[in-house]
Amino acid sequence: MTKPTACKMRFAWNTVLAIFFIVIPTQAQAQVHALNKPEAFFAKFCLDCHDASAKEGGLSLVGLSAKYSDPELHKTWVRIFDRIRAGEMPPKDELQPTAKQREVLLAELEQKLHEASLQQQKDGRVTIRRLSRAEYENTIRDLLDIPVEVQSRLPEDNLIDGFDNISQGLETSATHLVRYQEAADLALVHAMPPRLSGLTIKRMTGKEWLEWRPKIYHKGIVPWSRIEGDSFVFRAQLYKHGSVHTDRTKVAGRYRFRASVRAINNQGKPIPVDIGRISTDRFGHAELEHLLGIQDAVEGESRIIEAEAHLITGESVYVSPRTLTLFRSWPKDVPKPDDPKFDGPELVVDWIELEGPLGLGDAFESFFGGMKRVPDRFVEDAKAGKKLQDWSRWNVNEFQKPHNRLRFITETPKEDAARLLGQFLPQAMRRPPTQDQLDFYIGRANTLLDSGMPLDEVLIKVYKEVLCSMQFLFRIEKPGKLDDFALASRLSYFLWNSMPDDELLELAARGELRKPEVLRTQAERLLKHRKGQRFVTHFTDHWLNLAETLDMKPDNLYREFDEELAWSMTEETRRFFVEVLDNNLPVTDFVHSDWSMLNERLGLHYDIDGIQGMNMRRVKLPADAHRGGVITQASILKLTTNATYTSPIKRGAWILERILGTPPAPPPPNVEAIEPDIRGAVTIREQMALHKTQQVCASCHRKIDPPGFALENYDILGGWRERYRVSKGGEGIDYVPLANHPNRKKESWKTSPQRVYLAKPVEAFGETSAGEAFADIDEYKKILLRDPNQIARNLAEKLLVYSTGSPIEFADRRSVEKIVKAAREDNYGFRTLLHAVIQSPVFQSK
Amino acid sequence: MKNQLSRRTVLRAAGASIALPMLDAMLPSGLRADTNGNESNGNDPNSAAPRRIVLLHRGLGTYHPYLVPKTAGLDYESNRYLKTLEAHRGKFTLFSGISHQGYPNSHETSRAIFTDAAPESLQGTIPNTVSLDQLIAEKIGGETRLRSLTMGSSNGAASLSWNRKGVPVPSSGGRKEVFARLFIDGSPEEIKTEMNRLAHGRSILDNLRGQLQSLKLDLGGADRDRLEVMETSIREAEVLLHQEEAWASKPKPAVDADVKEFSARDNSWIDGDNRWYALMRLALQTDSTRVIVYGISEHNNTNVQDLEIGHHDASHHGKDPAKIEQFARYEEKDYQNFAKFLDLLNETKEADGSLLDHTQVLLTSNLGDASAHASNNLPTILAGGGFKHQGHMAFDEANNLPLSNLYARMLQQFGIETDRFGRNKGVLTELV
Repeated sequence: MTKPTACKMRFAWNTVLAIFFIVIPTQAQAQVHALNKPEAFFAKFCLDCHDASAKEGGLSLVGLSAKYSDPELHKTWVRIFDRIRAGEMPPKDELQPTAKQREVLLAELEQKLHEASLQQQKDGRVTIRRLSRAEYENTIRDLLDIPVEVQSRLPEDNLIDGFDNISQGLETSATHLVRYQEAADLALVHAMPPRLSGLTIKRMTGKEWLEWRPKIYHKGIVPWSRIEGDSFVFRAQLYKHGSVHTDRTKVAGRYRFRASVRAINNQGKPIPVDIGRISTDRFGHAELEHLLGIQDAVEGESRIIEAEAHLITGESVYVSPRTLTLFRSWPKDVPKPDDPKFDGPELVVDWIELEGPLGLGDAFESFFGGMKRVPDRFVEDAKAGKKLQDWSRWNVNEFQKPHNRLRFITETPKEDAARLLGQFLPQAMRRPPTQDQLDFYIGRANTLLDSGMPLDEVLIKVYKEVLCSMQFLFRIEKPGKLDDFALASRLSYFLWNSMPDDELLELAARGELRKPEVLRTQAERLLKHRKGQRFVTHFTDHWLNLAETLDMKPDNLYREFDEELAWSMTEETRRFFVEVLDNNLPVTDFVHSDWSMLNERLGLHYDIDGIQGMNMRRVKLPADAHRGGVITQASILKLTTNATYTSPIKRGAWILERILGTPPAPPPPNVEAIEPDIRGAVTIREQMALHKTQQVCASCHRKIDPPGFALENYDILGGWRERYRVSKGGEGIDYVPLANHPNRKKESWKTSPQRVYLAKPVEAFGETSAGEAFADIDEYKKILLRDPNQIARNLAEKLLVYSTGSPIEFADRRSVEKIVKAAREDNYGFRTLLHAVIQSPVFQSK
Repeated sequence: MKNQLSRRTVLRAAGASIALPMLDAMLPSGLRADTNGNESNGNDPNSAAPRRIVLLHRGLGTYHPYLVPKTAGLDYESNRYLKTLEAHRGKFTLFSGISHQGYPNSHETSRAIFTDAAPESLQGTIPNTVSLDQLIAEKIGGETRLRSLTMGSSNGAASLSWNRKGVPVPSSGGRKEVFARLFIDGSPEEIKTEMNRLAHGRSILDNLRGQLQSLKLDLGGADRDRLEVMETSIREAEVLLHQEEAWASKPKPAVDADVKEFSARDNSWIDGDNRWYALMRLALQTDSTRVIVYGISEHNNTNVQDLEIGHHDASHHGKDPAKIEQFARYEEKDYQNFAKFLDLLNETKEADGSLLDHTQVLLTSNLGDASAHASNNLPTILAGGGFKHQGHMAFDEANNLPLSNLYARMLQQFGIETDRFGRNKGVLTELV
């Protein structure tokens, strides 16, 4: 085909309706065109490849409409803009525009695209959307102050850009509507417990605990322990059901557990103590799920360890010395704990304590105004003021019977209903109800009361209607700048993954929340509140995909994988995130830092000496540690691999998506799969050589593969490696012990199964898409750190997407740049960046 | 009576003892009458028995050399896996060279295994599309107590079933829960409470509709579009509640099986899957549902003799012969279980044939060769359903036939007049 030189048409750059046709100018004409005109720029630098016949990369500029507000065309133009801005187009080996020419073009194009994008946003960036499953559960829990588990009853939410709270991913199907009703039923049963038990604190000394245990269990405990004063002393690890534990909870709720513990005779090293839950169902909790925390007991002085958790009825909390030998695997040649010659380490438990349910009484108080309840059959007597039989110690099941159901004692049920609804509605709707709404629900209550229904049933019914209303289930915002109440919700769903509390709603009612300094103070308050932990967990789960860290069970080739490592690796990343956030450290620390949050188990895994105990603490990293930043943390390296082998593609894509914010295009269909060969003959990297030679692969893989290659020095658990580990020996393949196996015994290396074969050496060198060579991850990180703005930009975008529920659009970019600037002026501090996000117009508009 | 005896025997072997029979007379009244001659609900006008469909998904692909025979047609030479299905030769078709088109190599394809949504849905930018089971369930509507059952053993339940809005259908629950919903009548008191709950549920939907109307006045265009979609959801939810109400007062079919047999703790995954299969048989036989999706879990609990490493671990065999052998043992046991399920269906006689004759049973996987994470050449078997089965149907292993061509054919077999499903490129009419 010939190029359409004959087709001469007028350019229509600025007219939205006209079609933009490129005309290939002759040599003479080209000189006539001033090169600051966009059309001339394209003609000169782009059209050789992007014309109607060559259509390089599927793009023809000929006939490409300049209707920027058209959603599809908009995307195309943004892509053109981005590639030119990144300097990727025109390609290096083609004729290049001057810096000035490029700048002028980009400025003009930016303005057009910004205006068009703004136009698209006139009704807001984000549409009305329902609460995500996680938001729903947290909101129900906070509203009713009950630990009810409802997530599993609702359909899973779809992820958009990795997040579960994005408008487009939150379709509302009939199943949702039916399930919301079931979830509300379940929640309200919990909200009106048959028995109110106020806050209790129950403390037992170690000795009391043993005495409290039925004698029949003593033979599994006593020979492996001793009593010292009032304390119980572990000499071995027991089964968790036989370990020191609290009484079972009478009601579900949030509880605080504390214990006083001390280590003895452990060569000056701490003994890590598991704090875990024992479910009513013995098999109710998977290994790691039962663990509430691991904290160290030290020698010399008792210290208090503690954990807070939602417990369901009938659960108890136990402590267990993690590093003591499990009683049933006691070695034959070591004196047993009941042998006078025993001289092993011990864990002293002075006392344990369970406090709770925290805040439950308050909830009932606030919902039901402290109204008195009595069993149904005593209602008349109670009203008549007669003395009642003591029912406070009845079995909980008694209250299920219709004649014993607890009823409110009131002479004025309608007034009570109106008052209680007046308190409930603003919280449930997260803003004051309109008069119509208030009248509607009070009317419903009155109708039901008139039909003879008792007040407690009426309230449950009407509250259920509220919990199934648009105002509860949906986040409703009007176009333009958010009103105060919508802003309160946006802030609380951002930092708490849940509804605003009274203080936020009051500030909103007074119209003060929108004041920058008030908003800032509130953001600080929310972050410091215990619910602020939800931001840490939920945001890292999705931004970094940390939620999937433990999904894949590693191959038996990696026998060093144990529960401690599994627990520690996720903990490291979350604690790292908190450390950066709390200390306003630069966002570049996510790429590289000279410190990390470690414990002994991670020290062993990373080959860093001198860390004792399982407590996580900030550790300065040795210069040659090859660690620092999240991208070289075990959790991240594990979640980007398969069970037996690492995938440079997955890891590379992860860096581009999560750290640089430049996600690669999805792979083309029907590409032949790479089949790993764990016999050690070929490395993945050798198999990936094809990416370089095949043009269709190369355009993306020259970006994806380099970071992946740089990370090749880390195995599937994030351990450092210089050679690949394989399952079988072969020629030139060595047989070595596992250095980082926690239970390794040096003398038995040759006979123990904790040894592996090492095959080919790892090659971690590469070249970035811009052509910069690096030898390994340390050098690659330095290249990344040269552009801190991009790291800040990505994080600003991720926070905006997460907090507003909508992907970043072109018109948001100017705000993003302001956020980046604010961070840059404060040494790229992460907290500064977070505040700048909250203060930005994108955050504060629909 | 001979049949009954053998069925008992088989059921005992499967870990559940269920007395029989449950023939047409024991089905909920009124259901049979509806089924005659009504094509849109998927019933065969020439048969008194309704049509059913079971979609089974197992992860981790297959070791092809042990599954795919050298020759096509009915006279194939059974290799290791097909030997377990030898008794059913002629009652199923194994497809080779079939898969969803355009998927990158990743196990995330399970999201699309029964929907055939475009691969971009894995990137999370566009929603999934409706799955085969839900499309059929829509047609059946309220004719059965449950429109469909979506079940899975532990980690097998990862979203396989998707509704028209691209929302994953949540699991129907554990075996005990499903058994209770299908076969255990509530007390009159409980039924009354349930009826009240459902009636209240409908009035709540009315409220919601009212709230939508007033919101529309306040909000802009994009929001209004969203609310329009909500209105269809409200209508659908009303239908669901209506149907639940209609069924709530009807007595449930009597089966002589104890819930304990289904709620007991499994000794192994083999045990577990067999109990699920027994439950599925009961559900189909009593016409409590006609559509079942079941996700067979990865079997990482190795407490079965001769299995030394986990299933997932074995699937990444990396060509190591010892691992391949372990992997093959897992698969062999899966196919043995599958064969037992086909036995159960085949031995359950009804109307003019067996339950198997009226039930399309599809078994497939999200992966072909799991060791390479390859998502082509998916191991796919279709049994029963009144097809003239052809043993091994071989398609091009380098250039696969779209799996949705088969799905479109399955829809037709269900009496649904269409030649479209997912991104199909035709209908697999070679299967008649």
